[in-house]
Amino acid sequence: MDDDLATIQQVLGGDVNRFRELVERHQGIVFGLVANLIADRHERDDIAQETFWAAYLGLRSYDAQKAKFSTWLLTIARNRCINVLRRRQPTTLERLPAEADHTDPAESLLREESAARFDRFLDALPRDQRSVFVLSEIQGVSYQEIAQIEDVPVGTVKSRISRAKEKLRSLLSQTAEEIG
Amino acid sequence: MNRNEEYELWKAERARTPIPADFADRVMAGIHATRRRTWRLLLQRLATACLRSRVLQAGVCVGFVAAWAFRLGGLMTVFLPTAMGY
Repeated sequence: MDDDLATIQQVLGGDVNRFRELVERHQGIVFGLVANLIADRHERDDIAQETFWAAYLGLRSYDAQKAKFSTWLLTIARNRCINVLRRRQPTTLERLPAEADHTDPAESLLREESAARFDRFLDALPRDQRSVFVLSEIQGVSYQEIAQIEDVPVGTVKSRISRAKEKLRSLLSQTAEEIG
Repeated sequence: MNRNEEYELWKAERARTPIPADFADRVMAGIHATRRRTWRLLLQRLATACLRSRVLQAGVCVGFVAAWAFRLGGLMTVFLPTAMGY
């Protein structure tokens, strides 16, 4: 965080090229969120880029006392994703490329099916639960930070995650019944 | 593999998002382009503001008239010594 502040000061002081350090430091979390909310790869790249451009243009308004730089970035990214999602019909998330798999083809197929099932669960979540679920379960962001990103109380974050997990449990038990 | 393991595997897979190799380059190119646009926009606004101002419009006219008079004066000096010689 101190590194971020020092870099931000340098960028604001006129050394614009130092902004690249901020991009390289935080592109992972921004892409992590955007890729789990937006299906289209090109749109996802655009949103991630626009997030950093917006951060650069609004850098003077960033208040380190209020939130970590990563939290602020995720807030921008999340808002952009929500705006895009509001404008159109939900689409199915693209499967992310899996790691090279050297296991038994049958097991690999089962794993693919299972991942597709979890993807469908994520697709089916309402917007408010989905972004909170992605931030907490996949990105590992703390409840406090999620509350800042979503601009809701921590209690609301917890209840949204709990409702999402409830749906996940019900989906899994449903699938188990179907298989059984 | 049990359900929890499958779930953990899926989360790990979802967390591993591929980032385009030239992503930082593209962001920086966009920022530099924005800076250039901002400067151009500022200059355009300054020029527009100048042209809207009556005082500045009058100043520009006076400048043109002065330049024209100076040029005319220069032309006249070509004839003046000749005229004085006769």
